[in-house]
Amino acid sequence: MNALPNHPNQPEQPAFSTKAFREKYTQQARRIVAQMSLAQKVALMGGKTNIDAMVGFEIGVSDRYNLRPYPAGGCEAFGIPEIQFCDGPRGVVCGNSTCFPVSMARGATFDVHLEERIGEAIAREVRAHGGNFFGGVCINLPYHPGWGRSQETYGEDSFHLGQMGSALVRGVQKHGVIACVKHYAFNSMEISRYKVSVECARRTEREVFLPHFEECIRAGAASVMTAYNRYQGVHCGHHHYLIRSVLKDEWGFDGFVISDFGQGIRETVAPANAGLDIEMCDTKFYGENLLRAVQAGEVSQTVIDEAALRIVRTMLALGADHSANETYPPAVIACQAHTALALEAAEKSITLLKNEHRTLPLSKHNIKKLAVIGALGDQDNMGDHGSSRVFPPYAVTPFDGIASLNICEVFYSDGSNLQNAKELAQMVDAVVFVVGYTHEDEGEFVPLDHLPADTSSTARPSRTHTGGDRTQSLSLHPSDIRLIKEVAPLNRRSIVVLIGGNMILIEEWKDDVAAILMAYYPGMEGGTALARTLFGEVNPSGKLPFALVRDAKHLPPIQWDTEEQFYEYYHGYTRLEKKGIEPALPYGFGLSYTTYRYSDAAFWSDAEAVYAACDVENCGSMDGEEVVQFYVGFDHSKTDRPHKLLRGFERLPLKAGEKKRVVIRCPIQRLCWYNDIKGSWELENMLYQAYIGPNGSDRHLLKGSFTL
Amino acid sequence: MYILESISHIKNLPFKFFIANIESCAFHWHYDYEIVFVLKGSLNIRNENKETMLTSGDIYVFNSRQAHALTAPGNNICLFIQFSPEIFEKIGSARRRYLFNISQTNAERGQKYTEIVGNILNIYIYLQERKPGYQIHIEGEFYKLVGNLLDTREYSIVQNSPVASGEIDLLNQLNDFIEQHYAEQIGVEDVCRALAMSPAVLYPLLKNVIGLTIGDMIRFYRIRAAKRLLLNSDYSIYHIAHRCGYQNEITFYRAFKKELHMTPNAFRAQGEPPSALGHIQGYLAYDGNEADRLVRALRETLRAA
Repeated sequence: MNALPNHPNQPEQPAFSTKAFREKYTQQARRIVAQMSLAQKVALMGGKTNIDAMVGFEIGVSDRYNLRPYPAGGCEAFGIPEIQFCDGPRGVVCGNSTCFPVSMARGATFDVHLEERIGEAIAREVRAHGGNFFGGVCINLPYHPGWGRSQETYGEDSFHLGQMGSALVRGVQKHGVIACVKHYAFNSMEISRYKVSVECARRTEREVFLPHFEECIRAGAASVMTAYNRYQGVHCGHHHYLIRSVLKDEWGFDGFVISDFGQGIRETVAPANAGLDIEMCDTKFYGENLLRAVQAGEVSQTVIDEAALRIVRTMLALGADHSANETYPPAVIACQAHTALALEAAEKSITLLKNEHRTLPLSKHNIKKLAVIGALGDQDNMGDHGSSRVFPPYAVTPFDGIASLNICEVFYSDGSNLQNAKELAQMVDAVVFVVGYTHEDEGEFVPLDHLPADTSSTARPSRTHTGGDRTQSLSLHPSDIRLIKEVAPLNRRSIVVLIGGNMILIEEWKDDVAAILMAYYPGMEGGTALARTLFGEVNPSGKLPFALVRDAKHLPPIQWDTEEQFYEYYHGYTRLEKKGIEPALPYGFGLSYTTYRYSDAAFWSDAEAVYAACDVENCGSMDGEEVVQFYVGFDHSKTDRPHKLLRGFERLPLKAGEKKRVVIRCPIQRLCWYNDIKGSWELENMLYQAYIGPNGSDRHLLKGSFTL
Repeated sequence: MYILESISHIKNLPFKFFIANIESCAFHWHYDYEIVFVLKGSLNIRNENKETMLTSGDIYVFNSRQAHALTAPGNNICLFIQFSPEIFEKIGSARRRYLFNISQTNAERGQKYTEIVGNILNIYIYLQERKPGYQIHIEGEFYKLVGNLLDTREYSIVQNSPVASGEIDLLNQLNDFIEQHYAEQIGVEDVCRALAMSPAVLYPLLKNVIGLTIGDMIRFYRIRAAKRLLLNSDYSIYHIAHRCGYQNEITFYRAFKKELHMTPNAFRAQGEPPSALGHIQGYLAYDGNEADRLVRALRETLRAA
């Protein structure tokens, strides 16, 4: 057992998305490559966008980053089209596209079908922009939640990351767009991304940091982007073991590998020999240099032929896909159907963390006046301003969203004047504090010494003093904590809405408020989704895609500004459980306006899979959707393994009073551990604990077991 | 008794400035924001259900459409600045109203207070001296003043005015309806129908709360629109009369004279004369020299500080 198995109930893959379909073009591609000159083949392997030209992108909107797709490769003589790169993941970065909630929010939906539909919408917009490549399937596992770009990924759990990432891949590749999975691998730190070398044990690599990449390859992803950081001393873009041994040989990846932009590779020979097929988004080390290296015998012809074959085959298959002849007019960009999808995603992601005395939903009859307080209450705050920034045609702020419901008089104060905020809080029937982070607190970061020398001096401060990792604290800003602690007690309906890309600690102030909602960065329709949730037009159904700790000291130790970082085997909920630390809220936690009763759990196995089943009943008076989770426990293992791991989930719509039986399947191979001495996956024959329920806390799960 | 203040703006300036010795002024409200600065004496402000006593040096901001009443125990000199809510459309959507909560009394004067008072005094001086180019200076000073008001963060923004639940709300509804329909042939019956109230209920209510009839209010909106067109367009009087809901010029002239004590043509030629306030009961004459002296002295004090 050297590879991970297919996911249960894997939907039928569309033509281009399957490796089998693409491999039908191997012979044709081989014939074309055989006729190409060395220069033509090398030209396939390079980007065509000058990196220096795009660094000042925050200065002017007109020449901003990725306004139009970035071309790479191509060979007109043989009819091989260029790659047209469009970035993501919270939508298409080009033009004025639909801005979806960030991936972390979409992770909180635990809804693979929704993510697949988002992938389709993104692909339609990529096509409408003239693109054919989506560089926005980001599935890096945040080893520590302080990672400044964790908003671009789905959560802390590898299994969940693999499911969500695969769904995006499937959706994107339904419309003739190549899905590119990034950043391969171990890219979970921002400020040190250009210099850090990540170290970890082989088991950590195989069981924790790579399975979600393999899952996406199995879902048919046709491209992979390497990471900036080093792994065990070697740049990921130069990494023979990661690219050639694991990805291409072991996993049988048939597509092509591209570098991250600018600093993705640092030389010519090593990345070429490691199997990095395309230098993006400029050609600095490939092109002429690669040509010379081949002539000097430092890079073999075979390496070039292999890269050319992979690129040509993928582009031929793309051209043969059923979607190739379909037209995607500009009108699909940010069309009503897509913005409605952005709204649906925001509504399904918002996670209710606390709801004392049934404060929420707010009554449309009792609330005559409502105050939105906090600097983020009236901001277009959709996340990072780096390469993932999407520029939608409009964005609904929380204040606008609530006012647009036309239910009550809505006041707004940014909270900077405490006295004013207090008077307002006393005058209204409910207060909604909107607090958390912006792109200034977390996000993409380019250190000063990595900016090109000719970047104008005005470009420097804006790119160096914003974003990065949350190196100091995972709490709210002290001014927000003070605002909540002083103002919230003045109104019995004080509700906190948290905005941020990963966990925000709540211990300091959670007892001062009646309700807490985690909204992540909810996208262009975030204000509408929030308003509808507050007033019960939507029943919250998001679940935390991470365990929320009580104290940052419960997280794995990390040095943010460093040249070396060791990743331990345990992180997130597996680490808390191993150490017996109680989180503030467990992985997968999220309340609802209704209540669900779990009963009659059953667990069993057959030759291929293990199964968990139970009844879930909506005992309340409101329709809802519940994310049912299946965990497998390894307490009887002879080796050191987690207490339990998420191994399946299902989003279940339940009308008020309705009861359904849910069955969740997990292939047996997903219970394997990686025997680092033998270098293979092994299944333990033992008694496994099994859990099914509403979240990752043992106390809330129905328990059972099965033996393999 | 004057109720709905007739506010028009100094020609080509985005605000109106005046000085008055206030005796009393019954409950009223207007669309414009109003800043009052007490230069001398004291002024009692009743603002919906709150009472505040201002003494010399104090500032108070009335919000757009916020009902208020003024009384004074004795002689005073107050500076008023009135400006349209449209100013804030520069920084947000038209649906948003800024609600200031500014009542700077002796106890709480900070840096922003000094700047705001400085702006008001400078406007006064520019208006008095009228040196060449004063219009530019005065406009700049006004925008600084509004910017400084925002910098206090002593405000909230509101969307969605409430549905009728009390007299003030009813007035707002009434205002909204008339503002939207004044150009049409509307009468008392239309207003009553729109508010779903019988004239027998609405009339006494209006009289008690603001002391106006529905006819007065319709005329107020029509004349207000006419004044803007007279100052800012080349339309004929006939055309303006029709655009503002008057069937013929004679009715329009009569209404205009009743409201402003001058003909539309005279108004168009002169703009609103400074004396236009004189006829309004409740504003007494004040000593211009004394005002001038006080403003200059205070400005020196602020500069020294």
